[in-house]
Amino acid sequence: MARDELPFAELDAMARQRAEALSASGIFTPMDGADLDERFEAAAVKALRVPVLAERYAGLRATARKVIPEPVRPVVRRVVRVIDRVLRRGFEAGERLVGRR
Amino acid sequence: MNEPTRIDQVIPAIVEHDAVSNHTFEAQRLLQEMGFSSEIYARIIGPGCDGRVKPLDDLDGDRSRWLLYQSSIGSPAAEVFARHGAHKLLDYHNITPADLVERWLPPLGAETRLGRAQLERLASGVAFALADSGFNAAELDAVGYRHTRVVPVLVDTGNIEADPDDALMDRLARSKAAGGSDWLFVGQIAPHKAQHDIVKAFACYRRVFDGQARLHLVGREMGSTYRDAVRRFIADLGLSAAVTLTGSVSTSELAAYYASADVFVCCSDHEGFCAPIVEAMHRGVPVVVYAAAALPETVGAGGVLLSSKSPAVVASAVHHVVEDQTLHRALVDAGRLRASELTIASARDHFRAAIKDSIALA
Repeated sequence: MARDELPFAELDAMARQRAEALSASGIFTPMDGADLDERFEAAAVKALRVPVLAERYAGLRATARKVIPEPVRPVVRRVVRVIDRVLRRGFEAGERLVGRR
Repeated sequence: MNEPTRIDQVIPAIVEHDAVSNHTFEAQRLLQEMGFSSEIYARIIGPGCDGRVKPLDDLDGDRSRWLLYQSSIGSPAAEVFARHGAHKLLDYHNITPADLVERWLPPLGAETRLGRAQLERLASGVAFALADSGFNAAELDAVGYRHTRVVPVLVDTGNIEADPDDALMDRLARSKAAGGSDWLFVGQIAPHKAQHDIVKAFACYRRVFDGQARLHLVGREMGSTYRDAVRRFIADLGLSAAVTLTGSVSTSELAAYYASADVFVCCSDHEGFCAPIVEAMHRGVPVVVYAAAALPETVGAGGVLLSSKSPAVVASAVHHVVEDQTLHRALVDAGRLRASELTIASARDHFRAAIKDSIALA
């Protein structure tokens, strides 16, 4: 059976007409749709950044294990944690300042 | 060629709660019922499957057996199958196009590319192929498979005849009593299943039609990156209280979600069959589905097929389905009828017939 002969085929046309009416009346316009697309893309960029950073950190950790002698590692670890916290807060403050979602 | 006495299966990975794995176990049962010896050989064996499946390394070179390869991803198992001297059959469950997943899961993108390349290479050595849908069969024909037969996936919708989980039913009923409709989608949280597009349509629906609606996205994640993006998106839209990502659920919890849903919404870009749609129709939940890949074939005359998944179109279609009680009832009846055409009993008949045909052709 062809798609347009199926029992609920008119629902597709009705839904498209309703969507056009929503757009014409300014209730939900293509710009609203584009805004949703952009907001998902922003969420995607943030989510994708995490594994990339994790991969880079894993590489750094492997190098550090090779070059930093065992006795000084606890001290280095504490210093890195402080730097990480400061950078993270700075980054978050920067994000708030520029009003990123 | 003599009729085989043994038809073994090869599968890249076998795990619990997975459609292709369940299909493989059911195929083994049917082959044994038909009088063949039948073992399953898997490269990766998940927890709960050991004892029922042999490691692929144990597959010996006996050429008198037939081998049936379950194809859904690229794997070194396909190379083992290709090199084996046995008479070969292949069962195709479709392979997600790499461009839908590789941004999120680069290794999976590589595996799916490999899978499609292997599928093409296997064509000349496979005597007979089975495919879940006409859509899948057309892909096989396009890359040179000589004899293909459509055999619906061996899905037992009776799996979800379990009683709904009481505690969850209570919670869902309390939410419903406060007003608003319940949207449902069941499937892995995965980029090609496009849960983000369901969220976009849901956001539009809440804004335009029903500010109290809820969305339940049921299913485990395929990698954490896409799930995190969907979560961030939901939070950014201020919908965290209205959208639930349940993760993996028990059979009785799944039954509760179906029992309380007003509509099943699917915006997937790619599906080789989509068993949850059949489950939803079987449970009397109207389905609204974006008509991509094999989905028009699975839905048939049992639900609403949309030619666009723009948020306003999907939201408007759902609004019609939820508000128009006559339409709602008609969709429930049509869905049940369609699900009755896709029962496991009918799929088993197709499978047996295909195996007999493959023997007749050999």
